[in-house]
Amino acid sequence: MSIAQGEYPVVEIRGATKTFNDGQVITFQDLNLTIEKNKIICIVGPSGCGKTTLLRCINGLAKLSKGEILFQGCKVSEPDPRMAMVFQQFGLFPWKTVKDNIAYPLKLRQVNRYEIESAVKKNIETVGLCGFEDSYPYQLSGGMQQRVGLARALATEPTLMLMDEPFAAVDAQTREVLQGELLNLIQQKERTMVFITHSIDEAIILGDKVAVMSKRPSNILELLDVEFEKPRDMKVVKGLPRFNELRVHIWDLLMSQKNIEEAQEIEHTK
Amino acid sequence: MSIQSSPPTQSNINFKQKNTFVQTLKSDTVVRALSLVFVLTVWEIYGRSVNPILFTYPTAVARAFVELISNGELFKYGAQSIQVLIYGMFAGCVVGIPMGVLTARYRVFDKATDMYVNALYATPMVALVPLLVLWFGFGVQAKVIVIFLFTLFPLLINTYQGVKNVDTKLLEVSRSFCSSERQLWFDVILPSALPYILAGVRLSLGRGLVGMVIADFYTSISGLGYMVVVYANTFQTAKLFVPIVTLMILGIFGMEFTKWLERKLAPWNDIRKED
Ligand SMILES: Nc1ncnc2c1ncn2[C@@H]1O[C@H](COP(=O)(O)OP(=O)(O)OP(=O)(O)O)[C@@H](O)[C@H]1O
Ligand SMILES: [Mg+2]
Repeated sequence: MSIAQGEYPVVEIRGATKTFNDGQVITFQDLNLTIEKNKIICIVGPSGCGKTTLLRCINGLAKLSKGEILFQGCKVSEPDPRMAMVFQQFGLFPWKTVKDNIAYPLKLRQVNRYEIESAVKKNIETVGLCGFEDSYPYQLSGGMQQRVGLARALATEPTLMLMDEPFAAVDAQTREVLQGELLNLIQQKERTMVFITHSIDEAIILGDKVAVMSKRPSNILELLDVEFEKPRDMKVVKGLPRFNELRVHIWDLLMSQKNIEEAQEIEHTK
Repeated sequence: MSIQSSPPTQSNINFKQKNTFVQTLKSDTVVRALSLVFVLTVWEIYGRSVNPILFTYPTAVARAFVELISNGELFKYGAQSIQVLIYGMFAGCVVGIPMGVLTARYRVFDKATDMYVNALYATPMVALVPLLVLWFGFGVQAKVIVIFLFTLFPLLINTYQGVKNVDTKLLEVSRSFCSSERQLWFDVILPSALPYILAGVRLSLGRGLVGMVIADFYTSISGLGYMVVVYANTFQTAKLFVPIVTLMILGIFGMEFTKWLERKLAPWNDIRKED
């Protein structure tokens, strides 16, 4: 394991295929992707193409039908404590206070009480929730709840962070604020992250790479490098001509995947 | 609710809630008090004009209350009733809650028992009371078993529902953070089933009271139900109202107590229901 740390990329996805309902629904097929250390990979793709499923497979929550996923050189078969997920609907326990929600993964790991306390305190400060330690999730706005979700993941000091549309459930202004804060966070300390989003802007601002997925059976259409130097400033980046080029390019790629009939079908089955 | 542009601080949330809460409480209390005075007055006037064998009126009931309290009769029979109610409900909880958990968790257990549970739940329990008296006699034992059967099913079924309805997203959160199966139970499944279980306790308390009175009717040597039978048979209508009003008060206090318990133990659930 100790050799593995340096030599292997954080995640290697090889020939990954995932099907549901005895092979009737193919989500992604023969997908290959490598996630290097200290890189942020943003994934965009049409709704229902299997982004969440891919993330669950990386996390070990779901098993691939074919192919393999390696985490630091070892095959993923079950959830690994070195990964931490931030969930779209926050995934907070309504019966736990902010403090206890953040402490939850550490308690599972039987970290000692003093370390838990200091980790919780530190991360509450990081996400700017001082004064809300003893509040319950229902007393917080959506944006604040997701800060708790973020603090919970950060507190485990994960090697890999998995974010599934973390800002999709908050309003547009809060979303921009959170984007800015996350940008600062990943620039203060290098992190490895897979970030799924429907927002092209968000993907370009945050990502070192943007992976664009096709519709089902899906694959990576294109893996773009976002070369903007770090530290980035959200406003500055958005003003660059290259930002717009990337944006238009990704937009075109996604539009080429739009299939109106299919979209309607999905709407109906919902 | 007003729209807030900035996230409210904790203190002003509390302040706002308290303020409106007190105001509504005050006006509600006034309406209730007026209504009560009106109904009691009408009852008093009408009650006095009817034959006392068939009907009675509030002041007569109050007098009967004083008499039955001072001669100790009400306490004696009341204590007997409450005692069997507590035993029966306790047995109902001890069997119903774990059984609900087991049936929700293990398919084999569920399929092995669900037909009996459904059949017994559908059967009006009253029909079983004479049989139980036949088997277990006229004592405390028979009554406890009657109340146990009345309270078992709401507890069992609610617990079952609570465990089944656990948010799969939260289960996934736990699994994602590498929770073991045992930890999953204590961290996620039981806390999220708790509001359901407490609602089950509330429902079963109502049913338990019914069971208690019916058991008294059939065994007829103790309890508040026995008082009802005796005073009805001897046409002492004012005294008849004493155990009835006592049962009513018991019911109200029981409901309020279980509601308080729900708020205390599962505050998150209460708030969610409000909005
Ligand atoms: N447990 C499951 N059983 C059966 N089908 C599933 C399951 N999970 C996902 N699917 C199907 O797999 C496909 C991909 O789902 P997934 O949630 O990964 O898409 P997504 O890219 O995350 O979509 P969105 O952008 O809307 O979040 C969908 O068609 C979905 O219906
Ligand atoms: Mg998704």
